[in-house]
Amino acid sequence: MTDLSPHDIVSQLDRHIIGQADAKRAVAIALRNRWRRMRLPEDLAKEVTPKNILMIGPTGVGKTEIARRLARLAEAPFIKIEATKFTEVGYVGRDVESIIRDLVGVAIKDERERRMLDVRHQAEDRAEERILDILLPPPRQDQPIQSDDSGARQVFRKKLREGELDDKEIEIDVSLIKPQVTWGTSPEMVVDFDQEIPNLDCVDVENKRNFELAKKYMGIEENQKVTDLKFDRVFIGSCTNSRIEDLRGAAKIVDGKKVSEDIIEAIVVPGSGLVKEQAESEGLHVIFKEAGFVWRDPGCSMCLGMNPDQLKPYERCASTSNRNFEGRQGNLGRTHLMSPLMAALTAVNGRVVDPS
Amino acid sequence: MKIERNELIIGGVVASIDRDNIDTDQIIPTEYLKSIKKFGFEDYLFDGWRYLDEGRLGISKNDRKQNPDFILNQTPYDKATILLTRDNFGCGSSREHAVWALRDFGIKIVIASSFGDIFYNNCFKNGVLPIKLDKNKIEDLFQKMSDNSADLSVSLDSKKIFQNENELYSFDVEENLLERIIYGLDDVDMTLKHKDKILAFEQTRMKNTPWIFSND
Repeated sequence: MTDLSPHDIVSQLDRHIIGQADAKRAVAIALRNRWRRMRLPEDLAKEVTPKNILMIGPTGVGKTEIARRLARLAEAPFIKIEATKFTEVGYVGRDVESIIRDLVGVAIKDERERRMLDVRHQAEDRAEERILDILLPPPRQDQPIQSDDSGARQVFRKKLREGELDDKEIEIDVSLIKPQVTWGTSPEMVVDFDQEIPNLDCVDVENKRNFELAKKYMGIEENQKVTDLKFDRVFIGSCTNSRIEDLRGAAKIVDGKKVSEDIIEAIVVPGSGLVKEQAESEGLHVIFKEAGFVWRDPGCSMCLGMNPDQLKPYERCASTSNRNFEGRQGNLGRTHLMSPLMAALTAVNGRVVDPS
Repeated sequence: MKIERNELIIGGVVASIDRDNIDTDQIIPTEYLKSIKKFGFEDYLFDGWRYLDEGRLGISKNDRKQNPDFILNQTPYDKATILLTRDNFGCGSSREHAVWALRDFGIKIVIASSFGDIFYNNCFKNGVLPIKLDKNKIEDLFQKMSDNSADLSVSLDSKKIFQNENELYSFDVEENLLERIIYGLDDVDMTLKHKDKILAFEQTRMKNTPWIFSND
């Protein structure tokens, strides 16, 4: 935008919009004047009142299109809203505050995308270097340490880019990732167990509505963490997260402890008949039962709530299954997905706590 | 453009549900999957939103407390044949019941910006046409449906959507999938269309490799 003259702006607009020559000229001059004001020293800029652009006309003459194109030229955020009207009873339509919030949301998103684009190449290069570091065979003892851009590295780089190394496996250390707990009504609505649940103000405009609905459904207030919530039920089960090693881990945590009095019911449903058999041969069922868990036969159980294993409305459940949709575990039930270890801890404490 | 009389048109009332990611648990909760029939799910469609009380398989909608705020409980939307929604409709667990419930309710077309993959394919097996449109067109349709009468018609021949005989958009769908909707074909029917070729192949095979068919 920086050095576009009004004439240039008009010709840019002409590429997309037919007619409206006067309007185009007027908005181009207004935009240019705004830009000129921005270049003034601060004390002088205060003396110049910036002009807003108001376009009035019937539907379909191109007001929105001019605004949209202008926003793009100025790299400014753009939203279209249904007009707020002033009537005898006051303003109707969307309130100004929410419009401005959305506008800020768009601006943040635009800027984020711009910055991401800026560092994209850098990020890709660095990822490639890290992968090469891992893939390259370590130098043999008798050889001098190779410089960063050795022949081997170049060969590997070429292979990597051409997809010849796609079958290679690399290991990534994930020990720094904290236990994840979902807060919403879709598996991707997830946070570190001790992280604040996203505030609506920080969410992309696109996701805002989904987040709003999810928070309302889950009974979550602003500035809350998962650790602030009181749980009613615990379900350790499902084919995905009730393997023998899951049960061993959970049993270790509850061994010698009792299920919290706040928890109405905590159940363990082994992932399969074989898992149940194995667990019982290791005596895990005794540990669970002594702690106050219900030890069940394998089955789907509360993963989908098809049988009577369901949540009552508004009950909150720590569940090791993998779906947390509205009503999945029973009409109006609130599901928080977490690992078997975190679920076991939640059973003992009545809420999500720090495992360390 | 005017709709030609001999075109294949599906039209009717459009019910809009302004949400992303409507999953199959939402479309029909698990409680009702216990039925061993493949029809009769109309009363359980969107059960969690549609009723204020808890339901059970076999209880009809007339014996339930209906939620007056939910669109499918309001006239004329209780007779809707088209459902308009947002992104990723039919995601979540794969269950054909989700399509059956829509179909049994009378929904013939679902318009969304994207679909859960399995749900999308299940639709064609049950005579429900899923239409994918760009997000901005979906936005536009939501506006149009709230401003004016919520009526649309869809031409299957020309793959176009009309409002009051005005063309709004055209859409894309694979020919052979569309054929299933138009002629009401399922997988077996589609296979049987090649009956001659299958028979010819079998006959040649019987001649060339007779030992496969001997019972000794």
